[in-house]
Amino acid sequence: MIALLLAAAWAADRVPVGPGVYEPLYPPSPEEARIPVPRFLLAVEPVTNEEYAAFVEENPAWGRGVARLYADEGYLDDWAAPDAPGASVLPDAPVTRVSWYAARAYCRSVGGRLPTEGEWEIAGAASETSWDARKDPHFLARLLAWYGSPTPRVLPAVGGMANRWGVRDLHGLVWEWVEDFNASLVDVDPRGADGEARFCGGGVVGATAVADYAAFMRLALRASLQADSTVRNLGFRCALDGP
Amino acid sequence: MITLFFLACAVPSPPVEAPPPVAPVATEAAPSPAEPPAPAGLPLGASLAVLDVPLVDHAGQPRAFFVASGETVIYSMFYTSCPRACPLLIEDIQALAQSLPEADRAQLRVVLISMDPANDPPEALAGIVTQHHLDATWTLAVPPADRVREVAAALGVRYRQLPSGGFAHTSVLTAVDGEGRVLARSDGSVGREALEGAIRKHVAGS
Amino acid sequence: MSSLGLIPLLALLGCAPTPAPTPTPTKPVGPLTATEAAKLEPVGDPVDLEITSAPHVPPPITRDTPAKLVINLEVKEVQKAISDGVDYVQWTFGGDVPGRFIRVRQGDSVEFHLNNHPDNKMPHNIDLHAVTGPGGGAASSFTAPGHSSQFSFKALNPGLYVYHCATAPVGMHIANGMYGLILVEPPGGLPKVDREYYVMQGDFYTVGKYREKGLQPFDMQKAIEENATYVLFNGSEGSLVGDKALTAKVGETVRLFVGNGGPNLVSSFHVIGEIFDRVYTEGGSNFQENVQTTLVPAGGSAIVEFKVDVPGTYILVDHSIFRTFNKGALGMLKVEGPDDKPVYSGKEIDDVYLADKAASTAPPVPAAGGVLSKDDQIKAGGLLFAGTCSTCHQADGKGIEGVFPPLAGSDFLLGDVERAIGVVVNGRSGPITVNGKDYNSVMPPMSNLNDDEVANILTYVTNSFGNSGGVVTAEQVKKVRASTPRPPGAAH
Repeated sequence: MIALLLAAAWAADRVPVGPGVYEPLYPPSPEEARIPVPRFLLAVEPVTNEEYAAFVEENPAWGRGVARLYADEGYLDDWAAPDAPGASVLPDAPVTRVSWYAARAYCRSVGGRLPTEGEWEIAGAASETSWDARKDPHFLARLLAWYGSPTPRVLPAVGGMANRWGVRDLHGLVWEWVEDFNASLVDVDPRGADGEARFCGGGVVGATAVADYAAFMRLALRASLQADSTVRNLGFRCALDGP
Repeated sequence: MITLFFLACAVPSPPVEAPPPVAPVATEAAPSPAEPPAPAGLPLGASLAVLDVPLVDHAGQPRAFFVASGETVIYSMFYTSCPRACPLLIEDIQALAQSLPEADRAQLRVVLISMDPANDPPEALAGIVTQHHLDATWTLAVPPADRVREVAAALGVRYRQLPSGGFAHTSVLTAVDGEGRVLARSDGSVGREALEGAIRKHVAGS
Repeated sequence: MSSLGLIPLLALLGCAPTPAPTPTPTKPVGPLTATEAAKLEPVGDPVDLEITSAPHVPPPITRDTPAKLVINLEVKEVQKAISDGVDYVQWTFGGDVPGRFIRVRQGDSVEFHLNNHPDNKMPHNIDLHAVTGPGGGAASSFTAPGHSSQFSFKALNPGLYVYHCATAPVGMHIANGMYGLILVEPPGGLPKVDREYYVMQGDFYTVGKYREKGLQPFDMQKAIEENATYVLFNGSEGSLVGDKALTAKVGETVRLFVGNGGPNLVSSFHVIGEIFDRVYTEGGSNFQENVQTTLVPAGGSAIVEFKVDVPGTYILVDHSIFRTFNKGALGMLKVEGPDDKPVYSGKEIDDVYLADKAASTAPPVPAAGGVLSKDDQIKAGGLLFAGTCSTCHQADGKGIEGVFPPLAGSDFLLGDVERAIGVVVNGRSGPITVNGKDYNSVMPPMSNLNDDEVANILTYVTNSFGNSGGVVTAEQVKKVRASTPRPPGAAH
């Protein structure tokens, strides 16, 4: 029953995004410099504590006692109880401290999936007024200001300004999981000569958009994650193949 | 340059006239100072057994991701049309198995999972088994297309499909015990010595 | 070895068996080559290494064997004051900028744990310049908040090295304070000194202007343009000032481990009042002597050593001097102990420098005889006043408050003619009160003026600036000159 309600809510709260072209920061080969992203549907807001709690109620295996394979020790550790958030978090705040497995399981349960990195970045390139604000210094300055500000003790509710696609909270609230978080930086061997590409100045040499520090930040965060990682300020939203 | 650290392990250590140590020397082998720790992934001791990804093996038979059989299992990922890295991976694991005492070899199983279900049906997997003369301790298997990334995540494998159809991927070996708990993990040469040591010890004991 | 078999043979040949060679000392004194260092194995149990916050450093290493060291360094993003009323979110290694000081010995094996606090927003890692290998140990993974990364290395090269965060974009991580120093001592250690301190310079870029109050965000554009808002030692203005100043006693040797995190600016490091006896330029193995100011590259270091001979407060500066006075690059070293006058006496004489107005020290000879009328005295006095007295007391006689007393309506001047004459002829120093305000300056004796000139000036003064009038004669001046002592240094 809850699942039906959830599915209904989810259907109402997603918008079409794209098609677009994703330009990875570290294209390992010229053929991979511009990746076409077909039209897809993206949730307007990240999944909230309330929504995730409903999922856990339906699927108790995904409470705090979930198998170690699927989430590390930080899983839902700001929830008051193993299966209910309680008063320590806002019901409308984005759910965080969830692993990649958990995020995927949730999206599956509402008939969707996680967005891919390309899909997320297409959606995230937009500001309120522009489809592609990646070179807009004001937009970048706002993102950098968020990176420089501490995570609040209690995360605020979702519902920030919508960008040009109609999607909210892609920036300025929490980091977000993507389906293929472990697909980037695959063929760079840190022990080989091309290892410099991952570190320090070398990292910029291979990159396409030197000034897009915000994108670097997201890439660094994704590269720091394992599938079972849970992080205080990492949440997710769901996507669906487009019509 | 990190290879310099590995070389340091191989060089016979102290000079002839070593001064008596001031503090008592640790007598068991201290962890080698030059060796980086195992590559990141599921912590040692955590179990892969719960991963409920259904596989189909090279004989076309359905098989659970993990089958509790009491043996030590090496998991890794590959794809059949992989030109170089995967054949090397297979030979590498074969060499590891050969290096074990003959009595212990039967205690080691290998499960190789394809990251390319679209092009790796059971027949293709069987072809690889034949090509490399893999014995009954080896299982090649393929997951559903939408579960590949889950398997990779559990095994700490990073991969990406290339426009040409092939894959860029890391060569991670994960060794688990009879209950699916992670014993060791290696990524190329990183953690390799520890992996071999852990496997050797475990098959001897079981 | 086979010497046992040789002994009978040698005995037959009439040679005494050679005595066992004296063991050569195995404790090396100078630095090893990197290859030699790579062969060293740790002795003893692993040790949790003490890492200190600036300006303090861990004590010099006394063991003479390599060790296995375990380092736990926590990354913490904290909001801190970088100047009075100015807050900034600094990204720190260990809670402060600069990061903790790491002190190891060449050949030590280090197991490094980088712990990213769960409350942090950003992923981080670390690049230690002391570590050879791609990325200098910036392990193959970035570390997510709430997670920890571990890697190991051996310290192969001696020297003073910078470490910093190497997560893209590196410039921002460094600009927010993610840098520190790691010292790899040569096996014999560094020569002994009395005091050692840790000072690290960095440039900071804020959206607001210098000292604009409130929480200031990082300004990427200013960083790209290298337009620093603050240039600071140890992460904040005042970190080494007042009761947080470095201290030493007269006669002690002081060693400063100086780092420069950048991200952009090179430092021209200087200690006002000192000459560096030794500078290990760029933190390397060789030293230069008798250096006034040394360059510390961004992402580099220097070791400076000097002996403090004279008490006082020595100011640490970046000699690109606007950074010291206008951007905060100022620190202090307070040295206490007995004065040493021959080395530095403090100001001995405070004299007015009259340039071409300063005449000879011979007694002035009256230019002509006769007595001038009052008006002529005033006119003559006025001419002399300008350029002599007006230099300090100003052309309008109002003086400079707190420094040079006024002559206009001055109760001190007008109340006692002989005292006024005495001031001009003998000078005056020490506290006086003029028109209710206190002054404590030095007026030198006007040795270049003869009696007539003094009389004329004083007549001018008493008849100008609203003063009541009167006449001062040369006779009066002569009498005062004869009856009062000249101060030391006065010509006659």
